[in-house]
Amino acid sequence: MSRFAVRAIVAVWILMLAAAAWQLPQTQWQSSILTFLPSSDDAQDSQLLHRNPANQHIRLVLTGGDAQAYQIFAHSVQAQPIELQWLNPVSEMHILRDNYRAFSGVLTSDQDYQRLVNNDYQGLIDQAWQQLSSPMPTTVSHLRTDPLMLAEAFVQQGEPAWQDIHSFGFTIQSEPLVWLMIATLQGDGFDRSYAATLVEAVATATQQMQMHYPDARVATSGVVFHTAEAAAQAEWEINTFGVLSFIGVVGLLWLCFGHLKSLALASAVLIVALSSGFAVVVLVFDTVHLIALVFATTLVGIAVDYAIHGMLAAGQGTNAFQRMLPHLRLGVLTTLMGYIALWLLPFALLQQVAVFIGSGIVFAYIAVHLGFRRFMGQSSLQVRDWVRTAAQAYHRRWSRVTSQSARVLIVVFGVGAVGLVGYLEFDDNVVRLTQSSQSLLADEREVQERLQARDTASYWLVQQTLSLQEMLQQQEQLRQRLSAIDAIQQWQMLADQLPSAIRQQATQEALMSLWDSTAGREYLAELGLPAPRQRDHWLELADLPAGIQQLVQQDERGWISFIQIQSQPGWDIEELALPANMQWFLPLDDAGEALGELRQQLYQWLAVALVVALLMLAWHRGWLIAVSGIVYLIFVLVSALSVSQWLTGPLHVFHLVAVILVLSLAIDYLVFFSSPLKASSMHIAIKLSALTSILAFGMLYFSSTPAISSFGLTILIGVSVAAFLAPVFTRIRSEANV
Amino acid sequence: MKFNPRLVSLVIGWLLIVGATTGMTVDRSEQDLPTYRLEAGRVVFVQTKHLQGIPRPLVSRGYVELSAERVEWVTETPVFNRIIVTPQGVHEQKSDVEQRISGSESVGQLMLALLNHDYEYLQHYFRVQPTQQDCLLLTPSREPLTSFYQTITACGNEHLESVELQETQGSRTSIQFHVEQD
Repeated sequence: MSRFAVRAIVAVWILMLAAAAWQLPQTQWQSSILTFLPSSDDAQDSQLLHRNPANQHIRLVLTGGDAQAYQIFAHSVQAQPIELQWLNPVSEMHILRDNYRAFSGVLTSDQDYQRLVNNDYQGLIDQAWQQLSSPMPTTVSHLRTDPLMLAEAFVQQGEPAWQDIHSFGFTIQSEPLVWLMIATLQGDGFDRSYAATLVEAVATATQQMQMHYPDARVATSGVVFHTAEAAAQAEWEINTFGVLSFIGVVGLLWLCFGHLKSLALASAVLIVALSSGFAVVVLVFDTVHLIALVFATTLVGIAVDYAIHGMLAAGQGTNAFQRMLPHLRLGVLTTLMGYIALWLLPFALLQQVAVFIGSGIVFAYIAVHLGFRRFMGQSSLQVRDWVRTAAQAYHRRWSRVTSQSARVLIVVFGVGAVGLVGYLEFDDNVVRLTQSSQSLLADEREVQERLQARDTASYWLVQQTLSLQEMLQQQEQLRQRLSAIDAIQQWQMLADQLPSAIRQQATQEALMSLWDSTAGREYLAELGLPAPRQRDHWLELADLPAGIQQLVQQDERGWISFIQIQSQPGWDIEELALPANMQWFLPLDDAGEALGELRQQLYQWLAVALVVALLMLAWHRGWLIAVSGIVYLIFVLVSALSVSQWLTGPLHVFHLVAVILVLSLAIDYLVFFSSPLKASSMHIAIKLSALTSILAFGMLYFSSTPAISSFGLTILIGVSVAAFLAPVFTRIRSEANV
Repeated sequence: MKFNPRLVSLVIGWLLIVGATTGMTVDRSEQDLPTYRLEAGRVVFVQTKHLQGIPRPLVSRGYVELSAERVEWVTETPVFNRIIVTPQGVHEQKSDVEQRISGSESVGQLMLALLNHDYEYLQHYFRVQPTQQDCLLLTPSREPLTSFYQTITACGNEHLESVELQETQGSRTSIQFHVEQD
């Protein structure tokens, strides 16, 4: 390659890093695994997930203190510069009441509306007299516009709970005093920096409170707290695993090579690979997942393989280096194949891993290819004598294996793989992929218990319509169906607070008929009231407090609303018939199904990858190596899965993702051990490669995220088995060459 | 749990009415609040409502029946109306069916706490001060009561004799009580 071409490649690389550095401040960082789960319509579902009110609220329960303690906390947390809207129930209630009062006369409960349209005038009048005779105050009805006080029942039907309220929130228990504070997120609850700011604000306010009231504490509830914790954990793991992998790899290289130059070369390749992978991910994706970067730390283990192959070959001179390059390219291609498979899957998290590692290994190869030319034949790139001696001894041991024994071993692999496949068991429950800390889960439980929601099943319906009025009418129909189901305890929907314009108009028309009737005229006469005047404008969304307006959102496709339904546990949601534009919002169930589909896709990809590997090996090495190689690969994959299952329970999709990577590494070993390169050198290169991979991937086993941990464990087992058994191909190769 | 503010006022009414059969005494000192004692019996009431927007007062009559874990408010004229409070909540009689008012459990519990001499409740929700002779002025100190009532005045001598509820919307309700003699 000409000097100009080399400079051009370096210039492109520097430009790419510069562009990524420019793009970096605009990049969003997320850490919840749920936001990157696969689905048929990823973007839309992700948008819905973000819009779900359950993900947009935080709830804080204050215990162990008195009102003064809680006020210190409330003042402090509300003074923090965070994009949050704290619920002030007092002002919300006043706004709601004032507007209901202004529109009393067109607001009715479902029950009263039915009596009105059924002309049960006397029944409604008797009911009004009962209310007028009771000692209870009128809350919203204005008697001149609503002589029957129908708005009172409307308020009772749909108004939010205002029990024991104050400007900071709710008193949910008076002895000992317990407060509830609620806030709506104005930022993205899945965004790392937003979540971290919020958590810090709550922590600061808690500290201020505890300075004066050490027993007072705050229990938190909300997805944003899990986001912050997952982000902090992911950051810690990226740094720790990245540094430990790097130290481990450098230590191993020092042990084997004992020269600073070899360490510098390997480190340079790693830096090029990591910086390139990171830059490409930042340039390709607007939102980067921190868990993807945790996976991506394993690039250290793969990229250093190329450096080791390069250094060992370069140490032997230009010819050896040139002979090695085609095999390295084949190894890069097969590894790349595995990551391209990941990239093509509809799973944004894995796509980011694939882009990071895929581009990292391409640049690692380029670095070896272009950068190592200056160091040909240098003794500093030779391994220490004891390593060479050990490798030769190991090679001699394998040399004793006859070709017949090697064939028998391949048959044993085949039988073993078939036997173990039946043992494999999968579970697609998405909850198994992620795990919040015990303290955070205890907080969630405490908040649920304080709000007495523990024995209640909660469901969300998502409704999408072209117009707001269509939405409200549909909700009014839904409400009737919900009322008829005994297991339904309560619900929250916009139509409870805002009747459709058609409903308001129909109410007014029916009331006009009532006032024209004899019973109506007599009632008004007894009270000394004139007939109410007709109204020509209706209660609208803008008249409601901000907290209620958030029940609905508008975008370019129309209106979206979430309806919360609480039922007795065990209620079958199929009992409720839904219109076409209303569906259950069950992100965890949907994700489980999607993971099941993804698993099927991964099976297909594995099958395709094995067929491609078979054809490539047949082309380069002949059919004997190809067929026995495929048997070896299947055995490696199945044994990795079986041991993982034995150690950690049923498998999930990340175990399969791991075996895709094991496959690409095992093909790498297969390619080199079946090549005509010097066997003892290969033993050194492959064993060092395997050890570095084990170091990098094995580190992931210690991740607190179950998905990452099982991924690391499976690769650790797979790579160990693959590296241990791969030398058998030096024997089969000999036979094939004969 | 949903909570109907109207029920709060009902509770207040009852709270005061309970005094009619319990020998409520009015002390001048906030620290020495009168004690209410629930005793079984019937109290007759006459209620006069001056409603904002209605030119003439509305008069209704009925009785309150008290027992240890149950309170009945029965209006006899001009229309019959019966409401029952138990620890499980407030029930309204509609036609021949008793319907529990949604989210009224806490009201029932509040009621019972009051009847069981839990004065922390009273102090929790009101600023209590004596006014003229034999009267006690209760000023709501907490939402949502402050949204409905400006003041509640309870007057009596040996027993509670009258209650006046001044609503924030301008309406005023006076209730006179008489212990029914056997």
